[in-house]
Amino acid sequence: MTNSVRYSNIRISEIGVINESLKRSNEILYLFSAANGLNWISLSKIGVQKCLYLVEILSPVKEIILSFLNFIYLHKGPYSKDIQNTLDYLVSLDAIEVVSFTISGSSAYADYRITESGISLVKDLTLYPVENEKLLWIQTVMKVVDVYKGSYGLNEQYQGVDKIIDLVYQEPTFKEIRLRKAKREIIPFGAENKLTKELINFLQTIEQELPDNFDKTRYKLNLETILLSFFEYLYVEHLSESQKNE
Amino acid sequence: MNKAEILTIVMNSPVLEVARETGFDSIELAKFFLKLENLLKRHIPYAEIGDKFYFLLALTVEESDEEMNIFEEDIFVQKIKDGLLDKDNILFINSNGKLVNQGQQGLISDYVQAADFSRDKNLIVIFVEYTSVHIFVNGTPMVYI
Repeated sequence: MTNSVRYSNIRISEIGVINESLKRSNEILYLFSAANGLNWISLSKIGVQKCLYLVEILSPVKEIILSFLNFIYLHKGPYSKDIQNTLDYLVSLDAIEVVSFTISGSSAYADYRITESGISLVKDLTLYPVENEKLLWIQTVMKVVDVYKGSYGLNEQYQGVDKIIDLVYQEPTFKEIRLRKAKREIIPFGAENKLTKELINFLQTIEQELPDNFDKTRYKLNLETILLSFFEYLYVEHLSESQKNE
Repeated sequence: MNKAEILTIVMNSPVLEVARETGFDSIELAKFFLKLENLLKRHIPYAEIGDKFYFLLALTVEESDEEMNIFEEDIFVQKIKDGLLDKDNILFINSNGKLVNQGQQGLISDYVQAADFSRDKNLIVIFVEYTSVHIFVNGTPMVYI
């Protein structure tokens, strides 16, 4: 029995009582599937961390429940050790593969991509509507990430999707912790995450903020335009902060 | 959270505006817009064009008969760098960046013809006239730069 088949059997047999670890594995696999759908050659460790952070912190937009991840504030943005462990696990199962690996000083850099058996797993998993909904959500967020990753003015020291670090830095919850320089502080999610939730709520009902002479139905945002507005806000904040620091 | 800033983004975002007007896929529009903005800011001398523009329309006439993707063709960037945009240069682009073959459309050489074409063909048309960029959605001028 190959690793991927074993993994598939585990997932299908335990779908009803799925634990956090398996849920997380699935979601990371969906992330790679979405990246593959966008023709990205690979996803770096940094890229995976930042994309999953955005997928998770934006989940109230879709009111979707994802696996719980503990992110902390580190220099290169939100970081969850659970993600790295899961990446290693998925590599061991041949669901994703390491494309490149380098060590520089005390840091290790790796790029990953989904394998054929990983793609096949995603097909099987998303036969379940709940899983398919998660995949669709992740695909939507990744499409917006794909839009913004090449934006003018993002940090040139990073490549590809890693450039969204600059936008993640502006994400309200993370930004508040960053400005306090509270390194290693756990980033709150769910009900405790008031700042990002406040922004999402504001966008979801933004037409109500308009003066009465506006056609409010015209300015009502849908899921995609909420995400775009959210990212545009992060981008504007980034440009503004960059200008101040010049 | 700066509510006024967010409100401004939502009310004035060119992408959201075009999406509202046309019903086009907003994410595809945003992708196109940001790539184009990126291209402009990197290569055009008058790149400080502010936030309010949607698409660029620029190509020399002799090249506009050819199929090309403005994001992939170096020649397009070179034309921009060389300042070879003038009022006779027009092209029509879809939201994926692919050009519509102008040879089949006939030459459009002024603002009014561009507006008419946009209305007749139900296309977003961007007409470049030196440093001015005119954008039409269904014949309606949206933004001037």
